[in-house]
Parts: sequence; C-alpha cells; structure tokens
Amino acid sequence: MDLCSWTFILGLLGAAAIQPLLSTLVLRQGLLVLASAWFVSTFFQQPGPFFLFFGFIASGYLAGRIVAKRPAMAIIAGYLVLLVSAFLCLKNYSFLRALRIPPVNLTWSSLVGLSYILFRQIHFVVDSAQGQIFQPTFLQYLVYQLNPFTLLAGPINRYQTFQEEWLKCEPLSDSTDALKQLQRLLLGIVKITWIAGTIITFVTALQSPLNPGLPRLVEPWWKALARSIAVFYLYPFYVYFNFAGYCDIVISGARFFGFKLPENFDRPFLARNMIEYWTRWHRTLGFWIRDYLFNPLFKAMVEHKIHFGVAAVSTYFIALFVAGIWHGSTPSFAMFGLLNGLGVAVVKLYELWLVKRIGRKNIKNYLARSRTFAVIVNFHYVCFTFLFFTGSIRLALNTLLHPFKH
Amino acid sequence: MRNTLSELQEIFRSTFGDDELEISESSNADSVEGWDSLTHINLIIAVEKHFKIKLATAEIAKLNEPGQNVGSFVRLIDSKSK
Repeated sequence: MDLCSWTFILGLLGAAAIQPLLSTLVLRQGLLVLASAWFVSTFFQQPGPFFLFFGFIASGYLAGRIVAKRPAMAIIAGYLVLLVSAFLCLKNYSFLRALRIPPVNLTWSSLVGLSYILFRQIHFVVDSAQGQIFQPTFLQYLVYQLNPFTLLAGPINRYQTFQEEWLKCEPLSDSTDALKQLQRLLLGIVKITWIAGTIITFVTALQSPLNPGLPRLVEPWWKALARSIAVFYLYPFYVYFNFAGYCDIVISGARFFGFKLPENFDRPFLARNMIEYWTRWHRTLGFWIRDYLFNPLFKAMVEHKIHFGVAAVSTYFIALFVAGIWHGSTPSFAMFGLLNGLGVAVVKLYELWLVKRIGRKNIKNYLARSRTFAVIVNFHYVCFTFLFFTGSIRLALNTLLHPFKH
Repeated sequence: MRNTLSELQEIFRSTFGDDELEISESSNADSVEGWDSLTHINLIIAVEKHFKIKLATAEIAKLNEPGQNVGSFVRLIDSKSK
C-alpha cells in the first residue's frame, strides 16, 4: 500500500481520531493490532507467500524465547546463519545464481519490509540472549514487526522502547502537538509526491536514453555533459526527499498512537566525511550497524590482538559494505556497498595518519579549518555512490561516461 | 566502598594515552578529545577486564545515546558489579 494514498491517509487519520476516545489500554492496543493486520493484509493476495512471510517473522520470536532461557552461542549463531540464508534466498540475491541455488520467485509485495524485519529480528534475538528484553509476548512482538509505521522501511526502532510505549499507547493529548504532527504528515506527502515526484520525472527523462540495450545516444558534448551532471546531482536529492517524506509520514503518524520513533536524517549532505555521513543519513540503519556489527566485530578483533589500525579500517569497511549490499540484491548494490565501505575505510586511514602526525588533541581544531572544503568533497562522493543505487552498474557507468563518448 | 569514577579515570587515561586527562560524571564524547567509536570500544574492553563484568550489546548501544555521559557509565558499571 502506498503511504501517500487516500486509503492510507484517511485510514490513519480516522484511527488517530478514534484512539483518544478509547478509554482502556486494551482497546487502544486492539486498535493498533487491527490497523497492523489490515495494513499487512493489503500486501498479500495468496495464503502461501503470507505463511512464508509469517514463518520468517515468527521464527524470531521462537528463537528469542529459546535463547533467553538457554543463551548458548551455538544456538544463537546457528539461528542467525539460517535466518540470513533464508533472507538472501527470499530476496533472490544475484550471487546465489553463481552457486546454482534456484531462485525463489516471490513478488515485491510478498517481501514487504523484509530487510527491516531481518535487522529488528537479529536485534530481538541477540538482546533476548543477553537478558536485555523482559517479558515479551507474541502479540507484542508481532505488532513490533508488523505495525504500519515501521513495516515498510523503518525507522529501525528497538524493542525495549517499543515495549515501553506499547504498554501505555498514550494518545496525543496536546492539541498543539497534534497540529504539529499533522503539519509534518502533510509535509511528508509534499516531499514524496511533489518534490521527489518532480525530481524523479526529470531524472528518468534524462537517464532513460542511457539505459543499456538502447542505441548509443548521440548529442552535442555540452548537452551530454549537462545530462550527466543533472542526473549526478538530482538523483541523491530524489532518494533523500522520497525517504525523508516517508519518515515524516510514519514518525508523525506513530505519534498519534503514542509511539515516538527515532529520526532518520540530520542534514546528511552537510557531513564532512563518510563516517559522519552515516551518522546523519538513514541514522537508524547506521546505528544498528554500529551496535550489532561494527562494535562486536571490532571488539572481537582487538581482543584477538589484531593490529589496531588493521582492525579499525577493516571493521569500518565490512560494516558499511554490509550496509550497502543490504539495500538491494543486484551487483549494483554490491558496488554501492563497496564504495561506502571504501569511503569510510579511507576516512579512518586518514584520521589514523593525522593522529600520528599532529596528535589526537589537535585533530578537532585542524579538521575545523577545512570543514567547507571537506563537505563539498564528501557531497560529491555521496552523489557518486548514488549512481549505483539505481540498480544497474551499466546504467551508472553510461551516465558517468556519456559526456566523454563524444 | 569502591570509587568507580576514580578507577574509571585511570582506565580513560590509559586508553586515551593521556596521563593528565581529568573526567567527571558530566564528561561525554563531546568534551573528551578523541572519544570516537573506536576508543569507545577500547574503553568497553578495558572496563570489562578491570571490573570483571560483561556488558550487553544493548547496554553498550545505550551509552551512545544523547544525554549519556561518564555518570551513566559509572552507574552501569556499579549495577553490573553488584
């Protein structure tokens, strides 16, 4: 279901209007359960894919309960390997074809939000094993995974915060706050439909003649250059406005039901390097990667006496490479991951070199002097990585090299 | 009674390689020069070794949240050392 559709928006506002009229917690929770069930049902036309999807999610709860009682490393690792393998097969990752693993032919709607579900599930299982999740219930877990505000594309919220808010389901009592949320909801719709919609119309018109398989486009060099430059700069803004608009809708929508979802953006194009960028762009993904991949991996490497610099650079690379390939199953997303991984690894190498040269204490002042230049360079690198976000390496290369083919 | 803050101070000095580093309960990643993701994990490793405790993923993650500071670290260590 499209979040900008009348059905969704009217459904959301209707439920938000009913919510404060419900006097007991059970009724308010019941409303969210019904809303989640209705929302999920719109993505499934047949029972088969639904049961597969449901099984994937339910396995997380079962595994969480088992490891909470018996936190054996073998059980946790075994389940996570199975879970990630199932995810890769369901999402049909292209490298599986080289391993002669037959494709699982499911439609996009049958895999709704699976990437986000996977990360929430890993968090649930790991935290359960470490005794950080208390008294979860199956229904609570299902609403955590399937509610309309986080199912499609996050934000990747944590179970503990969700649980705290679920046990209150407090409706918005302040009318000023309610108006602010309504305003944000409308702003989200404007960002997606008007701004992102207009940008992608331009980008598609400019980039489609460069699609691989079409005859080579012959045009004056200046026109070719303008075409490539426009796509290069516009596409990242399309992704930004589309995703930020989505976040505005779900974050404001969730507030009407008593849930304060984490923010996903903090002026990402003003980041001074790729490490800072990942604390500003899709923040809940960046923080998840930091907590469940980067920290444990780096900690394990240091504890195993791996050289500090090697451990630092390789952990940054692996963490952001995984973040990149998580976005999609084609080789283009592997390239996107590779560029992001390389970006953060190079920044870390540079920082380590700077620490050696001028000392840790002087770094902040030294870096502050070159901030504007660094922001401009980083913005261009980010735009370059987004060329590969379109899903085709050949299209990305055609766009980049088009002006030089004249 | 154990003075966690002063023990933590020694760990900070050794991790950051700065013998003059002074921390207080209100110190945080912004006020301590060089406190980044890597030194944070180095601190965790040193704290776990020194206090003979094991911090969970969620506990380490919480220390990165806005508003968290050395005081939060001290309280976490105290709660785990009981």
